[in-house]
Amino acid sequence: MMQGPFPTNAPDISVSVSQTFGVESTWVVPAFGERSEYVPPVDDAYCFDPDTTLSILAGFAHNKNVLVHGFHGSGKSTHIEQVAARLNWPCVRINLDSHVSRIDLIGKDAIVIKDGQQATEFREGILPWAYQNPVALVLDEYDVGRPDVMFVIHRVLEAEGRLTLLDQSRVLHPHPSFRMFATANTIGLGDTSGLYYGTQHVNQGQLDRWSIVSMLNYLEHDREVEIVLSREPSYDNADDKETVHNMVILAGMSRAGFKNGDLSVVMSTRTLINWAQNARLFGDLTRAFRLTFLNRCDELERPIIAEYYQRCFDVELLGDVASGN
Amino acid sequence: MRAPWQKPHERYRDRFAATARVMAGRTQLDVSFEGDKPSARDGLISLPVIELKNDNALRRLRGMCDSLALRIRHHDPLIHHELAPAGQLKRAIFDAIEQIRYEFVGSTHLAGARRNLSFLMAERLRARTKNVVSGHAHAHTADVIALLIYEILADGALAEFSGPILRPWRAHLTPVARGLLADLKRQQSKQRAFAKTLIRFIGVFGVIDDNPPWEFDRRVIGDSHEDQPASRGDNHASDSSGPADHDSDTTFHVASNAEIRRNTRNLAGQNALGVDDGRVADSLATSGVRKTPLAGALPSMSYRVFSTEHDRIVEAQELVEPLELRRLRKRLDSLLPGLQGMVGRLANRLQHRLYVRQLRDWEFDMEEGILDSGRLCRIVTDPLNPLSFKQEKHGDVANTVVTLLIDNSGSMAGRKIAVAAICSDILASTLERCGIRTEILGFTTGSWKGGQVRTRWLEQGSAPNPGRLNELLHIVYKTADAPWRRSRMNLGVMLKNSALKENIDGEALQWAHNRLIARPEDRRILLVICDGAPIDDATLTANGHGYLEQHLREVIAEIETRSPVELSAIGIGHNVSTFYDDAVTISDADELGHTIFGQLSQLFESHGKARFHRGETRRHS
Repeated sequence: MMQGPFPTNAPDISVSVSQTFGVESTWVVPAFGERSEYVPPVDDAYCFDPDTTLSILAGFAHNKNVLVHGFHGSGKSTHIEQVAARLNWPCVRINLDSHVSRIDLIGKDAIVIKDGQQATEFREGILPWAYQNPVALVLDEYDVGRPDVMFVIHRVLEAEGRLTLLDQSRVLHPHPSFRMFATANTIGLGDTSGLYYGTQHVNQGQLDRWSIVSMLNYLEHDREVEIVLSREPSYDNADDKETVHNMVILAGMSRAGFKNGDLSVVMSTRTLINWAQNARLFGDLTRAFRLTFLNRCDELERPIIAEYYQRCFDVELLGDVASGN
Repeated sequence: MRAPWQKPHERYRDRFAATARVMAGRTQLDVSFEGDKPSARDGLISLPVIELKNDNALRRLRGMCDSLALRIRHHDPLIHHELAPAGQLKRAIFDAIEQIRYEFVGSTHLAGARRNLSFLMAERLRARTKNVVSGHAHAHTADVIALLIYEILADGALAEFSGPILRPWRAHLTPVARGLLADLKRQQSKQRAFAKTLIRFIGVFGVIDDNPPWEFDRRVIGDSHEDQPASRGDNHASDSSGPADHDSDTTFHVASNAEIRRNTRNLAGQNALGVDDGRVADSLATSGVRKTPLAGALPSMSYRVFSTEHDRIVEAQELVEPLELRRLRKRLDSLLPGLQGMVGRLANRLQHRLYVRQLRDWEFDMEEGILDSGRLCRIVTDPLNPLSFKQEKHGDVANTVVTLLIDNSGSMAGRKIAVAAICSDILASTLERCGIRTEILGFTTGSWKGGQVRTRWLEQGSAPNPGRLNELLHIVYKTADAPWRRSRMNLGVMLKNSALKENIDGEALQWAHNRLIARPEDRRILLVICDGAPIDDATLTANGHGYLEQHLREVIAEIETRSPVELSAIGIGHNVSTFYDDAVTISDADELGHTIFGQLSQLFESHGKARFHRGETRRHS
């Protein structure tokens, strides 16, 4: 029954990393020749970060558990999805929150009608299902899940693990093409920045079971410019390109300001893309900035952002210039 | 009174500093407005006080700030010094062009910063070249070199100046010079290579050191003489007051002791009234509010009070007319902007920390609470199974009350009390947002030199060791239950200098503590802000000098050892760590914001007084 959605059970072709991902590498990684319904759609404009891409590919090729962490909006989940999309690897994302409980993951008794009679039957949760199929399971916001619940996946993380279903007295074996990924904002040591409300400490014993921990932070200037341009190609001309440069500089300033403790919010790559898109929508860069980012900032920090904005665009954001009082 | 932080510039200080930090790539960098020349040293950028009468003035100020910040980031003084040519003129050209270089390199993709900088540059050039343009003089070689390089770096910006001046020179540029110019453009981001090429270029140009009246080292400010008279005026107007006010208030402390000493004689008519707190304790006991070992009055070994008849506990708004209440609050608000930014950011950080601590969790398999729908099917299949509930657990942060007890004595008058008022204002609103209640209390006395109590004591024959001889005045600025917006008017009352008199800390501490004890919250924090040891002339003269101090120590010891209330103190220019276990001493009122929020963050971060046992972390100043 479960084999239905998967036309092929195991990777049957190989692809070259340098050709497929544009990342310098001699690696050749296994991939699926045929797309199935669980394979995420390919985003042709996506720019791969070399380090992160290689870590994720190592996870796919060599059956390693990969944890990607970094600031919000730096494209962690998308990164995994896009790698999976190009490998035609079925990929399922679960968003963890503190209300996800054990039975949500493992499964529960459900009432079914069998031969006209009510009966209960054990319905597998997402974890046993993914475990037995050629699926890459991505746990989003891994550090938000309640620590005690996260122990459910403890066994799954072990290389030659078996998953024991207590309710059923059954032992499951992993599918050879089952892969495990997770993304998180913090590295399981709690939030030190004050940005990530709701994150939890992750048990170090469990963190230890992630064989590759990759850090994806905001990209360097030129790559971020590239990403914005690829997302919003209408900027790809001399004048607008300079605007994108200024925008990315502003985002960089906001991040530096955050590090210095002057701001309590940062502009993510996602914010930048939203801003670029909103600017096209409203036909006004400054208005779009207000709507995309400024209105999200603390009242007290707006003058600082306005000052940054002046440096980047020579535009007064708040309009309270030198009144002198 | 115009305090220094009221200068219009102070409004810009925070944002300038934040921007300079980012542009310079330094975490430790500040901006101040002082003097008449921009300068940078030891993590401080000083900008001149220019009257901000129009946009250009602001742009000029921004340009100076940007230039100095970029200098910190892109200029290495060691390389510069190493390669600098001998000769005054060559050196001046060398310096000026290095400045052009780092300003350019630093403002790549920073359109606004570049405009700020080129505005200054244009201003500088306009002043230097107006004679040339009008045909009255020949351009100076140095100007020509600067303009040539500026032109090549800026891709033709400022052509309005450079065009007419450079026209006669262009024809004479040798291919070598042109080549060097191209090299300079290429090497602009490498200081060393650029400097070397520049020296060759200066050489090719044939600059002879002729010691002209050349003043390019006026650097960023250029020749903007017209700014200075205005700025000086401004400076004077705002700097003059401050300290003077302060002095006039503190003189009261040096009241005449001799007169009182004459009257200390015989023993009679002893008034054995207990400490006022007895009443509070009684009412507590009867109302059945929580009982802790300390719910009663703090016993005091030898401390006595001559009379409580004139002691008053008042709400702040009772002290002043409604009209004045508004006026004082307005004044506090006008003091706010300078500090608001800084304290506001600290408050934000505290708020974030508190939010992070409010971990929410579920407890499953409870007997009551929200039905755990995930397990409902068990009931359907086996009705004998009990219903399963879940409950949300809340973090421990919200169930907290914080009292700020502020010394309202005369010595606090002026800046100290203003900063304290502002900080407590912002603190109260911040904590309220996090669901933490705040009480703001002040303490002083009703009059100087003992007032009516001492008069009565004199009438009754001046018995020796009469105990405390003054009228307490305890002021409630904000009760824990009052919402901040309703109490915010009251905080202005702290600025009413005439209300600030002596300070009797021990009893005030007892009062604040007993108010806290009556609170239902699990966690109670008492933060004392003071600037000196307890002083009340009348009492000290009649009872000996250590009298009030002794009592304060007893009260503190009681609270620290026997009370669930967490006590912490901040001393402004007064070493409080000799009194309090958990104490920080600061030298300047301006540090108060940082310290209050730091102290509170630390308190919240710790797990509270694990029931009567103090934490191990004790800080000393």
